Amino acid sequence: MHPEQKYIQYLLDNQHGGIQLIYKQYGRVVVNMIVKNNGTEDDGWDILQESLVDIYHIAKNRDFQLTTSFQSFLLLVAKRKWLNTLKKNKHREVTNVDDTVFNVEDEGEKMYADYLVQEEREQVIMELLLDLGERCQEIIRRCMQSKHQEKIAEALGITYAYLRKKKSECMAKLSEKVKEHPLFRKK
Amino acid sequence: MKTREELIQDYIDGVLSAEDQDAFDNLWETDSSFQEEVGLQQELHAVLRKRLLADDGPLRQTLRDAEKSFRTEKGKIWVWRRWIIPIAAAACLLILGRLFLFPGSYYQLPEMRSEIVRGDINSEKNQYEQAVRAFNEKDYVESTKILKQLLSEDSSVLQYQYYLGLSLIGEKKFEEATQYLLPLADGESVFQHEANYYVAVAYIEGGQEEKAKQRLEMIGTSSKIYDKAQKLLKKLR
Repeated sequence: MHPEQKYIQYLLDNQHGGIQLIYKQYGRVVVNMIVKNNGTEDDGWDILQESLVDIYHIAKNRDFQLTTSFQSFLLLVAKRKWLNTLKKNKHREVTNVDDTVFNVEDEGEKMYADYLVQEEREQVIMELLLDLGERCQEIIRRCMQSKHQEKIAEALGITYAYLRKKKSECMAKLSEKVKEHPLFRKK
Repeated sequence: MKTREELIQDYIDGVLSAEDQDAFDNLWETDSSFQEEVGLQQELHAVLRKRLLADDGPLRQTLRDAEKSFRTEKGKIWVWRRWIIPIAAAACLLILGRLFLFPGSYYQLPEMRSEIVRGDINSEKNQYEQAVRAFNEKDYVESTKILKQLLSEDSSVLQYQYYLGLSLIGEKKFEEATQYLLPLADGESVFQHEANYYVAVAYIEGGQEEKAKQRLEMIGTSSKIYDKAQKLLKKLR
């Protein structure tokens, strides 16, 4: 086991002291990278927080083992996250991007590729869920959070058969949106 | 006869009848696009279950606390130097600060959707559409009146209650707005996160900033309003 796997464990266990240590040792490194690449200080702190949450999800659900330093992995996740943010905010003119950080494919990226791609797929699915109508979102959320669909139907004031029908329609809508997304589109 | 989509959902949820299982097997054996759709739906189910059941809220709170303490620590010198700023200037800042701290965008109400949420009774539909028009034209006195009427006729429609709360925010009747929004904010409907946000707005207006912070911290990351809530939270801190 890599000695710095402990930082991953701090996140999994929500250890306050350990997380303070992560901020102390690596916070400024991430923030500086974002500031150097067209971001603000606040962007930097936001990206740091979201990257640590991503690492938590990656490590929580898979048998994840760190193979590089924690700093390298954190910077890799933060870099991808910031690039995605820049892509989304096309109005923000990207004139000051540090080539050495952003345009060179590093070894770490290859090593963690599967984890990072899976994380992005999951995030896209969750974002597209929010594009559905409110009723569809509610039906999907409730159906995924509980197996007792008769009770869900009762709570929503509809029949079980109608709930099944609506769930299939809503999931089909979500599937269409997902298929149209570049990350899922068939080449 | 069930649709392809219904067969897939029944298959994933393990509730296919014998007859439907037969129909499902036929499609599976003869249609490769059906197989692909089943695969994608299985992935969607796995991800949605995992993410919707995962509770990263406590971790996020710890991360926010760590950021706050780290940034405060770094800013101590800067804060120390500021003590000599003249009181008069500070007073001016206090007066003006509120304007800059809470710019209009945080208070901007969303567009009210033009749709009927239950039943197909014409008068109900017409009334709702009138409320939509009034609300979107910022005639909140009128939209409040109509939505109160609609809600009194059917108190189970949460959409009426939600927009009534927003309409009252539009009228700057913040205390009354919280009466309608709080049950939604404490509930489990799709309006939960947005309701929390506007309850926080109402609390800020009422000078209860700590309570506003608590409400904003309750807004989940999967919510559309999460980013906006975080920005407002940062301003409050």
